[in-house]
Amino acid sequence: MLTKSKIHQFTERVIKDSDADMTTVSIAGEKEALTRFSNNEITQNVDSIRYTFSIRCVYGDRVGVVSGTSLDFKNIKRFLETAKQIALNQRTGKKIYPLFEPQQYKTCKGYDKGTEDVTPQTRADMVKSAVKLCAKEKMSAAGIMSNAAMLYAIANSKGLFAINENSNATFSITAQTKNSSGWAEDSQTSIKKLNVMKDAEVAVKKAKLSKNPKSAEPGKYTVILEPAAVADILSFLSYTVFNGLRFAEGRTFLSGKMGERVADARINLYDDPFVDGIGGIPFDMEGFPKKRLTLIEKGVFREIPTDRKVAEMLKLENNGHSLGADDEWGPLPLNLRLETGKSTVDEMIKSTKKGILVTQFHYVNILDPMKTLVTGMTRNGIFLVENGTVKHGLKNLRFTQSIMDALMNTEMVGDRAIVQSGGFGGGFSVPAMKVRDFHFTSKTEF
Amino acid sequence: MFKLGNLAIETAKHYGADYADIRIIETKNEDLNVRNGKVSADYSQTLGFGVRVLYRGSWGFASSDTLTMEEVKKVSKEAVLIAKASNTLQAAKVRWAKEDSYKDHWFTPALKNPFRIPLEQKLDLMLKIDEILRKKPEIRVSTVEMSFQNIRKWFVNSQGSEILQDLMRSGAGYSVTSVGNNDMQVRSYPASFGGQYYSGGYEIVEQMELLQNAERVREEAIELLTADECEEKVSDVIIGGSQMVLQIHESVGHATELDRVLGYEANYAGTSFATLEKYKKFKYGSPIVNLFADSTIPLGLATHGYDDDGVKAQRWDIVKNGVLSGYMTNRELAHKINDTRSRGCSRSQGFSSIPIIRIANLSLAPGEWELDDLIKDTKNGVFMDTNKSWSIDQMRLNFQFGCEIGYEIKNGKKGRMLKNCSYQDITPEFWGKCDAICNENHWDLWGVINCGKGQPGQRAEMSHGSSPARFRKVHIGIGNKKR
Repeated sequence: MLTKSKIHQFTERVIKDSDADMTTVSIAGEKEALTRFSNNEITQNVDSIRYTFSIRCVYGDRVGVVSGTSLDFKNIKRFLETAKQIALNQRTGKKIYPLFEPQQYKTCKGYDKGTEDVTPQTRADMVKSAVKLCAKEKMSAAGIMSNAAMLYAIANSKGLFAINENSNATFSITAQTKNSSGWAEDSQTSIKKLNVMKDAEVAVKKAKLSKNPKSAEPGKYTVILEPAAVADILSFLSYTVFNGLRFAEGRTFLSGKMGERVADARINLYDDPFVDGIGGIPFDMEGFPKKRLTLIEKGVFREIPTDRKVAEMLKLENNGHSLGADDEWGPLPLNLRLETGKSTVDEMIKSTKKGILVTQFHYVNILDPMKTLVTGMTRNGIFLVENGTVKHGLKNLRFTQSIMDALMNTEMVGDRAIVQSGGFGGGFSVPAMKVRDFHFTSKTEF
Repeated sequence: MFKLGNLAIETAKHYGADYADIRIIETKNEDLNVRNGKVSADYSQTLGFGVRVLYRGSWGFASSDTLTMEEVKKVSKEAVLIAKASNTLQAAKVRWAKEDSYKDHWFTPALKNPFRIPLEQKLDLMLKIDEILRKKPEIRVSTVEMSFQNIRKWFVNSQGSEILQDLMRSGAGYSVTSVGNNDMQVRSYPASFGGQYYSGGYEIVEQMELLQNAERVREEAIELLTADECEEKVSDVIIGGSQMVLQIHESVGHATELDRVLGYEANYAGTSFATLEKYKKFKYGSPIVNLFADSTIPLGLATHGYDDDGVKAQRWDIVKNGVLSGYMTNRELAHKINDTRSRGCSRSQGFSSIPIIRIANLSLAPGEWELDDLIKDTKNGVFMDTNKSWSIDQMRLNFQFGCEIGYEIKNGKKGRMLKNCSYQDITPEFWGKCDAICNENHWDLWGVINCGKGQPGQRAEMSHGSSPARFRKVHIGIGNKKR
């Protein structure tokens, strides 16, 4: 990736060459290498570096935004001229907030140089060892081994300059038999923390255990959701109930409920970019310092993300969650952290008379944002739990469930969280959960 | 550009590549957005290249956004090194289907270059629409969008092809969010999630009747707040054209991507129930169901001269008289169904992404019914349209889709408006329940601009043509109150 000084030089040059009243430059860069495998062989192997820059020029109350990919100084004047034309060709203006002065930020840990520089041969060797284990069990393996580095920088004509770097190594594997599959994934800031053999073993074990699955009838069940399954549904809360603008406009489940009990008392949910490995950025997309938020405390709704516009609407402080000066989507919590509880997954299973253990969900989508009603399928390992033990694999089921109802019906929270970066400031940290009355609404054939 | 392209090919061959291709891609986008009267205008331009090589039957790919001779050489060498690493875990060599070499310049027919239409003219139209949409207090959010894209793509391969394609697409649409009665509802026009898109110029936007429909759409959004909820039950449904797009896309398009069928997407997007032993035998739907892929169809978002493997555009059957009859293929996998030539479905998001199999323009052939006659012929049912939500399992069997709006049909008459409409079924069972399809008077192509697939993730665009169709005894209103 480019060095901090090269990024700084580019932003300084843009600001120097601009004749706008206000100029802001942001740069997102990603170096990503990924080895993909299926049917026990490498099928795709790619390496790319991408930069995207965005220039925002304000003339009076008119704004022009341009973006491009090449950080070449010779393009700057052309882009600035286009931004000016866009701004000056608008007949109506809008409210313009002043640019922020230089700020102080806390540090987000999450960059490892060695992870950025992993070679294709190292990735191939890691994949080979995992595939060998699956092949030995007569299973077909598919997955990825990737390493990436990401940077995000913002600078403005008031002298603000902020930059943050993250790295990520991910290994993901699906082991498949004729009628079952098992899955495991690990995502870390450093490749040294990955254990691909352990992941392969988990995937193989799940595939073995779910062989010859039986059908379960749709209905309400107690479910034990492994962390990946929790992440699959909890992530929807970010843009539905915790979108600051939607909240202010009365368009979320939580509108008008601040200070009210909205979840079981075991639920403590934060927006926390400072968790190691979550991929957080300590500032928002206007360069304002990001504050850690307590969204739900002991089941009570406490805080909502704001930017300047939403803060004004709600008469709250700006807590640094802007998605950009001209954003119309609304400030979001990008780093949801569900606080761990005290229970292991084994204890959840042992305490369950009849229930379903879920590895992960697939293709979850929102049906009714006001009710937080989502639907999706189970995937890669779903098991019947009876009288405290895992009995056998089940054919996959579709659920149609309100997420906030699930948080209210939570009976146990896991003692270990997975932490995963979603790239460019996004990511989450969630443990397993045991939830009663989880609604499965139809079944499928495998 | 072709000079740089040939330099990449020579370099890759020098380092041992058996096959190489390069795509140099320049992309221009203009995205305009008016939300509650506030304008956002974003113009972007990208330029770069991706080099793909085969070394002893294994793939390598590398890319860069620096278009110099030195960088082209460096990246081409890097692609070969990556292919050599891939070669250390190879079960079988890639078999690359034959294709003629072409020297050609292909471009999208477009009457009015949208990038030359004054910004003020485009924003004027958007602000007028926005004004109509926000005339009632129940409308909390109005969003009007326009988006234009121009891609210039230079393709060179080691088999002698030199192809330049100039692709243009234009789109527009709007949506309103109404709030009241302890509810929130959304209505969109001409389609949800950004509107309607075609390949072509600004003339497309001018023909959309955007202003003429704004008041109706606003009033529907308000009426939905107090409309009855679609009850959970088993019922006949007539699915409108814009919702059929998602039905075709999710339950036929992805299911017939040959890489999915063969397990290449098993860890991410999933596999498919439409496996090879079913080819040319499996009853995918009722005998009136005919679905065809067509990369040459006018106005399609996946309409082009050549795909990213350098294969010339074609039209072919996917489902013929209800039977599975074809797949989306590329040059690497065509031989798996004993085809000697690829169908030309290899596409990538841009210069930094490797081409993978993507859904082509895929359409349901029109039937014989007038929509009025179809409604008259339906005793009890629900008409649903405009997609709101979608979900389908990893083998493309169990799906559940939500629609923005529905109407009860009773004794052949369209009745009360219904909200929170959804339907769920199993793919071949659902298509087997199709007993009527409206004719060409009701048929249109609908653009999909947000199709995600692959790791690293890639976005692709394609179109699906359909007219409204009727399906018997379908589970609807999932999660709503039962009768």
